[in-house]
Amino acid sequence: MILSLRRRHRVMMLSLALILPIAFVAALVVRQPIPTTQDLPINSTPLSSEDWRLCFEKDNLWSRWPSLSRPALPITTRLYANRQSGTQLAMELQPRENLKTPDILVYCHPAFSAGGGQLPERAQLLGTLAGTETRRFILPVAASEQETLIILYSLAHQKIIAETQLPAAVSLTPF
Amino acid sequence: MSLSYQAVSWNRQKKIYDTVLLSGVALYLALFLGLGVALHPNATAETLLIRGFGTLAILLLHIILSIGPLCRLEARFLPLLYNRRHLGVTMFVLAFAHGAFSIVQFHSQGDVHPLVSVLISNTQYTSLSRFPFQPLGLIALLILFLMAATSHDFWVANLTPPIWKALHMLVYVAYALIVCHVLFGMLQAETSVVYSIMLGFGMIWIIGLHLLAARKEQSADLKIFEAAADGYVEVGSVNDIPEKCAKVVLLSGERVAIFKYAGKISALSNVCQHQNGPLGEGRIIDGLVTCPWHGFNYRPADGASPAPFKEKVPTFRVKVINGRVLVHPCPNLPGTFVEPVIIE
Repeated sequence: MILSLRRRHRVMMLSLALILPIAFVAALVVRQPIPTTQDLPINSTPLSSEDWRLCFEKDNLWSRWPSLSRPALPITTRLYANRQSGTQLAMELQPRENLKTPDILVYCHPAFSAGGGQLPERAQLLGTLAGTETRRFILPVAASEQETLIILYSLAHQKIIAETQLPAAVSLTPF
Repeated sequence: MSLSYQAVSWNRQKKIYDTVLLSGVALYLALFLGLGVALHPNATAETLLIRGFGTLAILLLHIILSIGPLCRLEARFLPLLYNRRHLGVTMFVLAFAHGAFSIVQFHSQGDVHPLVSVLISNTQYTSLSRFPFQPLGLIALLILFLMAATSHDFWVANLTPPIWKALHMLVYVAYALIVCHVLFGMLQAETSVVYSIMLGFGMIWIIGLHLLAARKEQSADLKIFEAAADGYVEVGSVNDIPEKCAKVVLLSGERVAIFKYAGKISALSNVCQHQNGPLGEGRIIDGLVTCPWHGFNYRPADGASPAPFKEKVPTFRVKVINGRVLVHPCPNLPGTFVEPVIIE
C-alpha cells in the first residue's frame, strides 16, 4: 500500500479506537429496561367466590397451532359458573410464563376447529392476553350449551397461535 | 492473474476457498436456526433468519477485517488474503438478507414506503437509548454494496488502485456504523451480558490487531537513510537480504523492495500495480518477483510483467560496494530496465 493510504488507514483506526469504546460504554450505560405489557393498566378484578364457583381447571389445555404435537402453551385455564344463573360461564387464563407473542387476542367460536388456520368470520372477540397477567373473560351464554372453541390469535403475526376446545357446561363437575 | 476480464477467474485455490466458505455459511445457519427453534420455540422463522443472517454477517466482517493485519504480522495467513473479496461479497449478501428480512418484517405493513419508514419511523436522534439504529445499518449496507459491486479487477483497473483502495477503506466506516447499529439496536433489548462481551471482544480484537500491525509498519517507515554525495543511499549489507527475498526500505517517501536472487541485486517499487500489495514481502519464483497477495509477477530487472501482461512498476538504480547495498532514491519510469548488480 502506498504511504498516503497507509497514513489514512492509521488515522481511521486511531479514530475507531477512540470513538467505538466511548459508544460502547455509552450504549450500555444508557440502556433502559424494556416496558412489558404487565405494566399496562388492565381490568384484573378477581371473580367473587360468592357469585362464581370454580368448576374446571387445567394446565395444559392449549395446543399450539398448527403443530398440535408441540408442547402446550404454558397457560392455566379455569372455568367458573355463575352461581345465580347457572348457565353463565367465565374463563380465567393465567399464563405461567411470558408468552412472548405480540398482540394476542382471545376469540371464541361455536365450532370444533378453526379450519385452515384462518380466524373464523363469526369468531367473537373476548379480549386480550399478554405477558403473565391473569385475565378473565365472560363467555357467551351459548358456551354453556355447546362445545366452544377458544382461539388465541396474534394480531401482529396475523395468525392463530393456539386453540382449545372447552367442554360444554353441562359436563362440568363442580370442585 | 489474468489478461482479460472474467466474472471469476476460477482456479483450484479459489474453488477450495469458496467451498470452505459456503460450507461454513450453511453450517452456521443450520446450527443457528436449529438451536433457535429448540431454545426459543416461540420465535418466528423470520426472526430467527434475521438474527442468523445478521450475526453471521458481523462474524464474517470481523474475519475479513482481521485478515489484513494478521498478514502484516504473520505471513502464514496470506492464503486467507488471496480470495478475500469472495468473503466480502458473501458477507454483503448475508447483510443484505438481514436488512431485507428486517425491512419486510418491521416496515412493510404500513402505508409508508418501507425504505422511507426505516428513515422516519424513529427520529429520536437526541436520545442515546432510543437512538435510531436502523438508518445506521442501512448506511453501512450501502457502503458494503459499493464495495461488493466494485470487487473485481475491472474496477481496480478503471478506478486505479489508489482510488479503489480509498473506496474500500470505507469498510472501517461501515464497521463503526454496524457496531453502533448493534449497540443501539439489539443490545438495548437483549440484556444478556454474553452479547455485550462478544461485541466488546470483537471490537478490541479488530482495533488491537490493526494498531499492532500499524505499529510494526510505522517502525519500518521511521528509519531514515542518509544520501551520499552521488545521491545513492546506503541501505545495509548484502547479507541482510535473504536469497530470493527482499529488504524493504523507505526512500523519497515511498517504499522500495531490494531483491537478492541468483547472485544479483535489483530494486523496484514495493507497490504492486494490481491492488498495491507489498511486493517486498513476496518472493522470487521462476525468476519473477511474485506479489504475496494475488500472485502478480514482475521481472526484477525492469519491473515489467511478462507478456502478455502489461503491468509495470518503477525500478531503482543499485550499487554494491564492499558488500554494502546502495540504492538511488530517484525512481525510474515504470518498466525501465536497470542492469542487475552482480554480487562479487
